[in-house]
Amino acid sequence: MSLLEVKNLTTRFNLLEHQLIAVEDISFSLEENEILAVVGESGCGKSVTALSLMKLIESPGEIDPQSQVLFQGQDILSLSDEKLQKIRGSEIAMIFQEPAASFNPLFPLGSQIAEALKIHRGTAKEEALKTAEHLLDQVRIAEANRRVKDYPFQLSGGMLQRAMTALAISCEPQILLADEPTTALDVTVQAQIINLLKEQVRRYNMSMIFVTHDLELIDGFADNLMLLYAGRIFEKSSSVDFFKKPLHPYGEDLMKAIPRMGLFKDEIELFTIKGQVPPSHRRPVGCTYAPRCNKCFKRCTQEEPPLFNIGERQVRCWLYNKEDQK
Amino acid sequence: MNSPKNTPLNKIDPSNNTAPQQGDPLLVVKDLIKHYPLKASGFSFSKEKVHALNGISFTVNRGEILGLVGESGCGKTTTGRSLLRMIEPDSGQVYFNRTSQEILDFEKKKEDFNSLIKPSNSEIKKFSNAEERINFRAFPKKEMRKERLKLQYIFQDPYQSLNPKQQIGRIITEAPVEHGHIKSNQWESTALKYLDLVGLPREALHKYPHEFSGGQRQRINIARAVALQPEFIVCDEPVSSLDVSIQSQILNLLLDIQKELGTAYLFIAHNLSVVFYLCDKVAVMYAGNMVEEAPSRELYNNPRHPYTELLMAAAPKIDGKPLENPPGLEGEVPSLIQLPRGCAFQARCPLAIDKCKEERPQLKELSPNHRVACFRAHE
Repeated sequence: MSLLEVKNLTTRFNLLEHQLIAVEDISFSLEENEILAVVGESGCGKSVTALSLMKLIESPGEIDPQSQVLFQGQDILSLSDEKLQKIRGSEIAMIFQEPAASFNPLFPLGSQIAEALKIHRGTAKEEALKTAEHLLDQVRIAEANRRVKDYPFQLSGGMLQRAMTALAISCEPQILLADEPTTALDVTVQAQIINLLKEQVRRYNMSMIFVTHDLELIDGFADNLMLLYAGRIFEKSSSVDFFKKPLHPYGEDLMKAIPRMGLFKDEIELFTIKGQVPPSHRRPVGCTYAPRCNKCFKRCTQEEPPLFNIGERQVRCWLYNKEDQK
Repeated sequence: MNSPKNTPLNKIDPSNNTAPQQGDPLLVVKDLIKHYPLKASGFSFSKEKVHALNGISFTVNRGEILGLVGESGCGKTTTGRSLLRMIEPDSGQVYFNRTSQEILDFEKKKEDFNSLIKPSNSEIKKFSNAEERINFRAFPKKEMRKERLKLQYIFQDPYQSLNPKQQIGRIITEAPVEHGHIKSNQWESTALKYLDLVGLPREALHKYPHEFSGGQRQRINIARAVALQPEFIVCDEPVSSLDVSIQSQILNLLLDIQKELGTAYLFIAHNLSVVFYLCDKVAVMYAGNMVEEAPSRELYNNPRHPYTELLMAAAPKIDGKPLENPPGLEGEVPSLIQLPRGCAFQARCPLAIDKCKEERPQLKELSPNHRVACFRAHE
C-alpha cells in the first residue's frame, strides 16, 4: 500500500460567471521516502492539488465527492474537521511560498513552533520551547537560543523559511507538502533551503511533495515528477527519464524554452511556445495543448487523449496511442 | 513619425559640433553613489544610512546589452532608476550620448576643480555651469525632461505599471503626443505600428489592461517604451514574473527590437542563465558594489570573483546532478546600514585574507574588458 494515494481528484471553483475546473481527474501515489515534484506553469492547478490533499479548499471551491485522498488507507476527504486537525501539521505538514505570511507576526518564533508540539504531541510548555530551540539549531539558524525569542519581522526571508521548515518537521510528519518554498528567495538562499529540505527529509524518513514552476530545481532533487497543464496530468515519470527525454511535446517544448546556463544568443535562438495557456472556461475541444503544439494532428483537436502507459511512465498525448501504431 | 532633430544639448552648447560617432559609448557611468537616509522615528534623529550604491562605474555602447545581476538588495534597481533620475543619486557622473573627448575634457576639469583647496564662488559657478551641460545627474529639470525621452524604463510588475483606466492605444502613445513627437490625430496609426512590432493583435488598441495576461501586458510595456524611439532602455526584471513559455517569447522580442532599432539595454535580472543568454556584457553586483564585469561568454568561462562563482554554482541547472553546496553558500549579505570595512563579501569568501578585512578592493582590469574587484584575483 502506498503512503498516499490520490484517486480521481477534481477540484472546481463555482464562480458567478462560470465554473473554473482547477484540477481534473488527477490520480497518483506517493511512496515512503519518495520526493515527488508537481510542476507546471501558473494556473495549471499545482497549488490547488496540494491544498486539496489537505482539504484546504474553501467555498466557492469544492472537491468533487468522487475524489479520494487515501493516507495510509484512510480517506482524508471524508474525515471530520476534528480528525483532520490531527493529521494536518502532525502527519502531513506544509511549507508555503511566502515565509513572512506563514507566521503570526504577534508571537515569537519559538512559541509558534512550541504550539504545534503542545497541540499535537501534548508536550509541556517548557519542554516544547527547548525542542523548538533544538529544531531551530538543526535547520542551522545561528544563535538559536536567542532567535527562539525573536519575532518573525526580525528574520530575513531565508531565515524565516528555515524556521518554517523547523515548524513543519517539529512533529516528525510522514509527508512534507512544500508549495513553491523557494520562489520568493534569492538563488544562494534557494540552494541553502533545497539542501536543507533534502537533509531533513532523509533524516526523518519523510516523503515530500514539492510543488514548483521551476523545472531546473527538480533535476537532481526529486525522484519522480508530475507535469501538469491546464488542470490535467500531462506526464508522469521518474525525473531521470524526464530530463533525459520528455515524452509529451509540452515537456519537450518547455525544456527547449528554458535558457540554460552557458547558452548564448549567438549560438542558439531560444525556442518560443506560441500563444498562452487557455483559460479554464474556454478550453479547446480535444487536447488542451493542441493550439500551441507543433506536433498536433487531426485527432488532437477532436478528442482529449487519455493517459497512455509507456513502460513505467504515463503520458497524455495521442502520439503514444498504440492502436494507431498497429 | 518625427523624431527630435536637435538634441537639446546642442542648443545649450554651440561649440559642440562634434556629434557622438558610432564608436563612442552611449552611456558612461562613473562613481554613482546613493545612500538612503533612514527615516528618523519619533524624537530620535538617525544619521544612519542604507548604502545602496557605493560607487558604480560602467559603460554601455550603442546597441549593446549590459546585464546587471545580483541578489535582492544589491542595488540593481537603484542603479537603473538613478540613470533616469527616478531616484536622485547623491553623486557621480552619468554621461549620455557624449563623445569620448568631451568626457575626458570634463573629467579633467573636475579633477582640477576638486584639487582646489578653497574654490572661489566664481570657480564654483563656472564648474557647476560646465557640469550642468554634460553630467546627466546635474541637468536642470527642464533639460532633463527632454533628455529623458531617449531613455526609457520597463518595469518588473506588468500588473502595476499600466494605468487600468487607459486604453492600450493611449498608453502607448501618450508620451509621444505629449512631447510633440507625433500629432494628436496620429495616435491610432502610431499605436497600431507598435502593436504590430510587439506582436499584439490590432484589436488591443481600444482595450484596457485588465483584458490582458501578464505576458501580453509586458508586451504593452515594451511597446510604450519603444514608442518614444529611445536609444537606451532600462529593463528591470521584465521576465521574472512570467512563466517559462512566456519568458522566452519576451526575451526573443527584446532581441528582435534591439536588432531592428539598434536600442541599447541595461537588463536587470537575478537569473544568471537568462542574463548570459541575452546580454553582450554582464556585471555582477554585491551589497551596492560592482564586483565583476566581463563579456558574457568570458564571464561564464572564466569567473574570477568568488561571489560570481558562488552565484553560478548555486543556480539550479538541468544536468542530472543535485544542487551544489559551494563554499560561502551559507551566510547572508551584510547589513547595508553598517557595511564591513573591507570587502563586503569577505565574511562568506573562501579565499579571504587579512587584507580583505582592512581594505575595499577596487574594480580593476584583469584582462581587456574583464574587470574584477578582488585582491585574490589580481595576485
